[in-house]
Amino acid sequence: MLLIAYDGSDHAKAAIEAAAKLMPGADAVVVTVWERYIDGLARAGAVGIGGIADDAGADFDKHFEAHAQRMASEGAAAANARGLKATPRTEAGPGAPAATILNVADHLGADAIVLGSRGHGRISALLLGSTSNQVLHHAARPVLVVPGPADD
Amino acid sequence: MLLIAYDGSDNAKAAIDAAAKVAPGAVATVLTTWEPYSGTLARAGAGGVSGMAGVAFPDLDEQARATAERVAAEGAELAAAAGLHATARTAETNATSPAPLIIEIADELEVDAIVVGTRGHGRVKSMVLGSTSHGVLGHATRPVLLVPPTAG
Repeated sequence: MLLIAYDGSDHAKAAIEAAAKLMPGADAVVVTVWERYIDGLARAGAVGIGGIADDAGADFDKHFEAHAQRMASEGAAAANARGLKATPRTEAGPGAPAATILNVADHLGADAIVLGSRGHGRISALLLGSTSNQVLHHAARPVLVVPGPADD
Repeated sequence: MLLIAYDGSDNAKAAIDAAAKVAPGAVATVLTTWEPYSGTLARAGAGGVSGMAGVAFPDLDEQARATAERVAAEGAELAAAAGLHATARTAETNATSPAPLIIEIADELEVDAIVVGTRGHGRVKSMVLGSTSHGVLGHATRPVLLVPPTAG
């Protein structure tokens, strides 16, 4: 089973296409990671601001989660259209999505993690993007890195 | 079709297993690169020593080539045992890193993905990725399956 990280970008779409070509018919989970409002605030250094988080945060989170669900569904539909057997999944995680992606991969026992990379048709370490970089450096399982489209 | 970079290391064996698991039954070329002895000498800084640069070492080179052929054949056998349709291939590199040659052959074969272990036999270990996997990742315009030693 593959875990495809999907954020709706062109390189994420390229990753789905490459996975489908390479592993036709494979089971796949298309995961979109989102971050709770309170975690985003904390990351932005606003952790000490009293009182604003609770209610507003819950509304934002509903919105974020719905957005992530739409995105994951879009990714799974694209994957299924290309012959994979894909299901969408969303996961809330604080901070960088890499750790969340790795956790989900471990939880599912994925055979491989599939990631798109930024970069103009070439995968440069500098252009890999922080998520793919961190996943690569910490993954204990195979990672398929897919370069984005040339005009990315 | 896959191009699997194979140097006989445990990590390279893990890469074959991972490729077979991720893309069962795929057609694969198992590639082992080798370097002429004069290149190794030059790389070791012996190029200026008493006119050694440019001196050929036909016997040693023949040995290196034979070893590469044996290693590639072993890799192809492992790959076949793991269910891939594998053929062995060797190639001579004159560069410091086999990465450009791996990419060149991947382009020639128009493979769907390059499979490479993140650690190999290289003596100098990058902090995070081996130099070959880093070099391949840095310049490939096609998907790269990176396999850590712990995978498979």
